[in-house]
Amino acid sequence: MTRKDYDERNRFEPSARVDRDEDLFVLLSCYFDGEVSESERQQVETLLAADDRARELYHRLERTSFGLQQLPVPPSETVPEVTAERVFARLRQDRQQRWAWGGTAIAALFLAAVSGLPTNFSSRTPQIARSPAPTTFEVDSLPSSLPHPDASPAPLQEAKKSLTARALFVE
Amino acid sequence: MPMTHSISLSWSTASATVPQTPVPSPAQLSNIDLVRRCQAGARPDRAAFTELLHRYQSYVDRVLYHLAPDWQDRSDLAQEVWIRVYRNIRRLQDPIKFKGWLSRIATNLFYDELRKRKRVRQPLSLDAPFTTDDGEREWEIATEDPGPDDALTTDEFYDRLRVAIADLPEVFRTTIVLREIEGMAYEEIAEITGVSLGTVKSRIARARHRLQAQLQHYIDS
Repeated sequence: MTRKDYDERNRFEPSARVDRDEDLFVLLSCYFDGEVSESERQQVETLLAADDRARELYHRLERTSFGLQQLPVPPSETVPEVTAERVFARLRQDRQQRWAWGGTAIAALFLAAVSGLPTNFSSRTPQIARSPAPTTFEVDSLPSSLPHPDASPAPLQEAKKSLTARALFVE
Repeated sequence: MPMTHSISLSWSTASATVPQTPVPSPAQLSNIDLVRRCQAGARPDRAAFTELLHRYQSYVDRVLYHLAPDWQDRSDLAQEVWIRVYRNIRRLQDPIKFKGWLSRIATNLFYDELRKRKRVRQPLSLDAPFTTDDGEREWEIATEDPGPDDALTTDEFYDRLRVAIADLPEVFRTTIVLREIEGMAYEEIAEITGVSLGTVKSRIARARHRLQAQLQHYIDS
């Protein structure tokens, strides 16, 4: 396949020669990185075998990539030992900070618990349930549904009932 | 008593014959074993971690240099990379992949920092078609570089390349660095940069194209 064949095969727009060039370059770039499908790979290899221009572009890709790979980097300002020391110092500092925060939080909770200041928390404070204290009071008049204290004692069943009723009334 | 004595002797003999396997120092370990040793305890072993840092610091510096050539505080960034490595190395499941994992940490950190700085670069001129205003294809533009007769040294080429990389718009530079320096696959680059696979392909090609255009003289000679 020659370049012309490639252009024929990839005819997106009749006047879009530039687009085809771009597509070719992208395809070659992907091929260079091994990021093409099997059919694309075959397409590129055929093209490279037959087209000087495509080959030239591909060689440029190779040289550029080689230059990037070999590009020397300025030496680091800090030697590894110094970096390691700084890293350990930072980690130690962070740990101490965490401990300090934790200690402060615990101390604050302790103080709050001891002083009992947070009265607004009282509704959430568990309390022991208590029965109401027995209350005594004078009953001036009893409802007619209840037997009069001076009346003759009612049978046991009746007395129990009235006691319950009285207790309920008192409460 | 004699019985006891003989038992005691046999024990002492046995203990003397057990070969003592010396624990190799971190410097003697392979990269993979070094990573494993760092993963062994509740916290990475200090000596092993220092050795690991010693072996890979230049790689981290290289990645950060290409990602952020104009940042003056790259050593602080590198330090932060190693702090993250220290804290998370136990999560690395396959020690063989340490280099890629390290590279990813450096790249993520760079992006975090980039977002913080909200660095505004020039418009993405490479998004324009591969042509100039007069319709000429960019790779055919005559270069203003010195002619082939000039004595061009390798250092000059690298200087030019450095400038050309630094001149690339942010997104194109990071994409080509992720590919060429860090060796990431396109899908990985798409994931880390949050763009489609097609965009990654296009950005890598365009970045290469721009570099070639700026270095044409050196490349062709």
